[in-house]
Formats: sequence, C-alpha cells, structure tokens
Amino acid sequence: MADEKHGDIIEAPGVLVLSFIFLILFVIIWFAHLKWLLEIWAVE
Amino acid sequence: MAIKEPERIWWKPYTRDEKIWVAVSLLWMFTSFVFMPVYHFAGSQNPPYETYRVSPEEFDKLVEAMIEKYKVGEENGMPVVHPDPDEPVFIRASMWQWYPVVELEKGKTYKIHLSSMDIQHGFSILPINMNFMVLPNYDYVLTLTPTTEGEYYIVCNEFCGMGHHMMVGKLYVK
Amino acid sequence: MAAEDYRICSFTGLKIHKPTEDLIKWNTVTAILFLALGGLMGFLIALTRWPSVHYLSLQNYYRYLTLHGIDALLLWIIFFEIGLVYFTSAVLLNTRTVIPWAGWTGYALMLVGAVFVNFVVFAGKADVMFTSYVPLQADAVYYLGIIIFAVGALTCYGHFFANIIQAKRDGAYKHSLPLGSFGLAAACIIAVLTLAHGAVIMIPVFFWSMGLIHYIDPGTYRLIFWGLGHPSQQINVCAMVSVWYMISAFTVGGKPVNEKLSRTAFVLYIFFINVASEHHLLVDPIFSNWHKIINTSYMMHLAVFASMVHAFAVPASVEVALRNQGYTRGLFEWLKKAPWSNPAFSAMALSMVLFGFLGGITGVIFGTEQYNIIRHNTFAIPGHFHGTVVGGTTLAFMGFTYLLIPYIFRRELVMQGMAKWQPYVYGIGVAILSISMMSAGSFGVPRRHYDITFSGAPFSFTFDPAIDMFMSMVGIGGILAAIGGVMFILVAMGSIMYGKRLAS
Repeated sequence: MADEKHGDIIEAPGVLVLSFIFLILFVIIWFAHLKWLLEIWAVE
Repeated sequence: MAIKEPERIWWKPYTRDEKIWVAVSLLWMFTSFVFMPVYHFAGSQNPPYETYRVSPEEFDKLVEAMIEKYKVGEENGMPVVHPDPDEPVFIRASMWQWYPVVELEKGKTYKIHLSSMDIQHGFSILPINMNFMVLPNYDYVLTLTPTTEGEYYIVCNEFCGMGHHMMVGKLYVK
Repeated sequence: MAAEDYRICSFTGLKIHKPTEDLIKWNTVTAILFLALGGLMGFLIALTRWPSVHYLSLQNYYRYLTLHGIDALLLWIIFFEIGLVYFTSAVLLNTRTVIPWAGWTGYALMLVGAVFVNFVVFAGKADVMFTSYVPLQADAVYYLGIIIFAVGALTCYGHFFANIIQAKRDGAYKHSLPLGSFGLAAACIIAVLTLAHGAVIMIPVFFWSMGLIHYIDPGTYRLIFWGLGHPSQQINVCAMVSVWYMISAFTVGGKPVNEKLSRTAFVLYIFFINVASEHHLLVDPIFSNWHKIINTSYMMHLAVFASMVHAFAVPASVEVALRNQGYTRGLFEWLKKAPWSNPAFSAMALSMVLFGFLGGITGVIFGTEQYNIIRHNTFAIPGHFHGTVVGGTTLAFMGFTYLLIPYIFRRELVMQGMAKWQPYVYGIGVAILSISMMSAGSFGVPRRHYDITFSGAPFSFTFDPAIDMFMSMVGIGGILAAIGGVMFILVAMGSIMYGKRLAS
C-alpha cells in the first residue's frame, strides 16, 4: 500500500518543470542542426 | 544523504515525477536513436566513402599523374586541374599545402581521394563547413556531387606544426 | 590504528584520520597551483584568438595551448580527484586511509610526471597539443612524463578500492557505500579502464619517440588514444556528479530522492561511455558507416540518458530538502530561498546549468555521426568542452574547495565577500566563452589555429563578418573567466595560508 502511494507523489515539481524546459531546448537545438541540408553537396 | 550510507533497503519504487522524467528521457533518447540512422540516408548529410591503404610515395605518383593529364592552368604557383567527371580526383595534404587546385563540374559525381604525405591534417571545406580527417598511409575516398557553383577553400583544421595557419587550398565548382 | 590519529570534524561530525587529511591537503593544493598555471595559459590563448588583440607569438601560441590542455584538463582535475578519492573512501566512511605510503608514492609519481611534462613543453620540445597525434612527434621525455603521471594516478585511484575493502572489514559501512562514494567508485572503475588504454598506446609511442619502434599507425593511435581521452572525461563527470550530490547534502541537507535511480545512472556510465568515445573518429577513414551509426546513435544515448537522470535527481534533492525546510509556496519558492550567497551552493547550481545546457546538449549533438561532419575540429568543439570541463567540472570542484577549506584545512574563508561573487563571475565568463566559441565554430572557424586571416597562405579565405563579434567575445569571456579564476585562487590559497584557524 505504502509503495503504491509513493508512486503518486510528485516530490520535486519545480525541478520537473525546469527539466522540461531543458528537454525542450535540447530538442530544438538538436533539430536546428538539421537545417544544414545539403544544398551545396548532394550525395548519392 | 549522499554523504551517509543509505538505509538497509534503498531499492525503492520511483515517485511520480521520477517516472515522468525517466519516461520522457527514454522516449527522447529512443527518438533520436531511430531518427539519426534514418536521417543518415534521407538527409544526405554524410557522403559515402571507402578507405584503402596507400603509401605516401604511391599517392604522390597518382597526384602527379593526374596533374600531368588534366592540368589546365596555374594559380599562385599551384597547378589547377580539371579532371573528367568519371576519373578519380586526388588531393594531397602535406606540411603546409593542399595540392593541387581542383575544378569540378556542377552536378557530376566525383570520387575524391585524400591522403597525407607526412602527419595528420584536417580537410575543412569552407564556407560550407564540411570536415574530414586526412591521415598518412590511408586513402580516404569520398563520393561527392557538387550542386552549387562557386569558389571553395580548403582549410587545415588539425594542428600540423608552425605553418598550420598557412595551409589553405582552393576548389572550384563550375 | 590509535584513536588519537583521528579527530571529529565540528561541522560534519565526520571522523577524520590525520594521514588522510594530509593527503587531501597536498593533492588539493597541488591541483589549485596547476589550475593557476593552466588558467593563465588559457587567458593568454583567449587573448590571442581575439582578432584585434592577437597577443601571443606564433610559437608561444601552440606551446601554451599544449600546456593549457595538460595543466588545466589533466593535472588540475586529476590532482583534485585524487583528493576526492581519499575524501570519499575514508572521510565519508569515518575510516582511515589503509596504505598512506602508497598514497604518497602515487602523489610523488604524479608530481614528477607533471613537472617533466611541463618542463619539456616549456623547453619547446613538445609542441604537439594535448592529443599528440602521431606521426607528429614530441621529445621522449614528454611521453615518459605522461606515463609516470599515469602510473601515479593509477596507484591513487587503486587506493580507493583498498580503502573501501578495508572499511567494509572494519564495519565502517554495512551494505552499500554512500552515494558520494558510489559515484567515485564508478569514477575509479572508469579510471582503471581508461589508464589501461593509456598504457596500451603511450608506452609504444614512448619507444617510437626513442627510435626503438619504427611505425605507429595513425588510425590505430587515434582509436586507442580516444579510449584514453574521452573516458577520462567520464571520470570527471562521475566525480563531478558525486560532488554535486555531496554539495547538495552538505549545504542544504539534500538527499537523493531515489538511491536506485541515481545508482543505476552511475552504472550506465561505467558500461557505455567507453564504446561511445568513438565519436572522435566519426570523420576518420578507419571505420565503416554502419559502425559509426550504431556506435553513436545507439551506445552513446545510454550514457546520455544517465546524465539526464542526474540532471533531474541532483536539483530534485535540493528542492526536496528545501521544501522540507518549509519553502513550499508555489513551484519555485525553494529556488528563490536557496542559499545563493553560499559559494559552494551557487558553484554547484551554476555548474549544473552550464554542464547541462552548454556542454551536455552540444556534446550529444556534436557526437552524433550525422552532425559531427559539420562540427569536427571546428571551434565549436572546444566550445562544447569548455561547457563541460570548465563550466561543469572545474566550477563544481571550486565549490567543493569552499567546503574542504573549513572541513579539511580547518580554516575560515578569507575575503568572503569576494568568495560570494566568485562562482558567478567565473560562470558567466565561461558561459560567454563557450557560447561564442560554439557560434564561431558553426561558421567553420577551426580550433587550434593561430591566425584565421591566414596570413602567408597561398589563398586567403574570409569568414562571414559575424565571426568578428564572436571571436571578440571569446576574448571578453576569457577575461571574465580569468578574473573569476584569480578570485578563486586568492580566496582558496589565501584561506589555506592565512585563514583564521578553526578549532577542531
């Protein structure tokens, strides 16, 4: 019983929000590097 | 605490925020893990290549033979070559020059051979910023198809001694 | 062991063994001195890459760049980590250092190796950069110095295992190590693997430099060198994450929210970082395409996942601790009320931000096969690792020094007003430095390059004018970081030498 309850608690909501900001930035920067599509050298 | 021994049973279930974070982290890692191999083929960001062993002397001979056959001029004391599109192109790295200057035709596919005569060099095509390592005794064959006309420069970006900053070559796409 | 060899720390209640204390003191002070030297080199290099200043001469630029790598990346960090080895394997466990003479032997070997390498580079006989890629050759003394240093370091990392085995026998801990020691255990395991790679490649290269071996394959050298070079950064990551957890515990009483999660993440580091270090070879001729794709799209992400876990778990431990102290209003009251004027705490917090946002994200991206081609050997790469090793590890270690000074040196911090600002000045300087390096690198500016106007070259390439601003910002970031570095040295060395003695 105690264990189930443990799984429902959010202990660090602030950090969870900050972590999501980090993740979103991560994803944006990741895809930004794809912008460099090969306009100059196409490759077979 | 991180400075005290954990209690007897520290193998505890996760809290909800931990579960969420672990799940989204894993999901993102999995996305990038699947996405990148797909992008390797779909995005054409990386050229196909092959590698062979070659001694500096052999490679030098290949470079000289290409220059003899396809030389079309000189620029700043360096020969300019215009090889046929189905012929291999050789670019030689040494302290401190990229030799020779090469003219390529737009839209044609070339096999570009890179090797070094002495130590390691970095082959960086600017301004488009594509980078490769050039090692002695390795013949690095890149398959490239230039699609935009212009003048390009080859800058060495692996430290190769005191003349490193003077190691600049040139490439034309016509 | 006689009871009088121990004292009880009045701040932490930890039992501290006299020989352990001396070992930590000497290693830490040596580390700080090498940081001062390496930092000075870094400052001069940043001034040289600032185009309108271009301070150093051609020869000195490459010489000091080699030294900067050796002193700041290798010597400062490893000497400090050896201090951490004793701290986590003896002090945290309230037990003793088992073989102090082995600790002193290791220290002496490291110091001798360090002096050899510094001397030979200053003498101009080893302008080969930190990587010393063959066939670029340095004087044999250079390789010998590296080998002696590595043997010393291995002795000290090995000492960790001797200590924890003895501690278990003495009943200092019953079931498992505290998390701080657990992280250092991961670091020491990786250290042994890493130094084995170092031996495999540096010993043949040493013989080659003396003319006894005629040929070292440059591709093989790169492969094995990076088996040394990148996992050794993972030693730093493990040590740094441990330091984060420990600073969180010492400053706000933070405890890991879930030991299971944090420990699993450390284990992932041990297993996956070695295979992931091939990302240095992504544009090399030696591997097949598939090898590169699998290695960096798959293996690397498991180590990255571990970092993402810590990135959540450490700040979560701070949040939980501060919420327990009553700062529960809204999402972020705890963040506002955190002890931001405690330099140990602020250094840890900034270290996490810089490591994650600057070093971490870019590290994953540049280490991916498909992206690496546009970043390899550009200025973006040093931008990345100044985010990890300087903004992350160095700043975290600076923060831990502020704790070691009262706990181990038993001195009060001098110039506390300056100490309060030091992490911010240093952190902001490093952030500017790192961001501007990465921005310039995205235009293709090469790293390790004396003159990007290419004077004397047969052809001259002109970069996008935007890089002038970024390259100037490198200089400005370098100056700020240097000011922060000087502040640290003044506070740390000032406290160690002249700080008010604290009663035990």
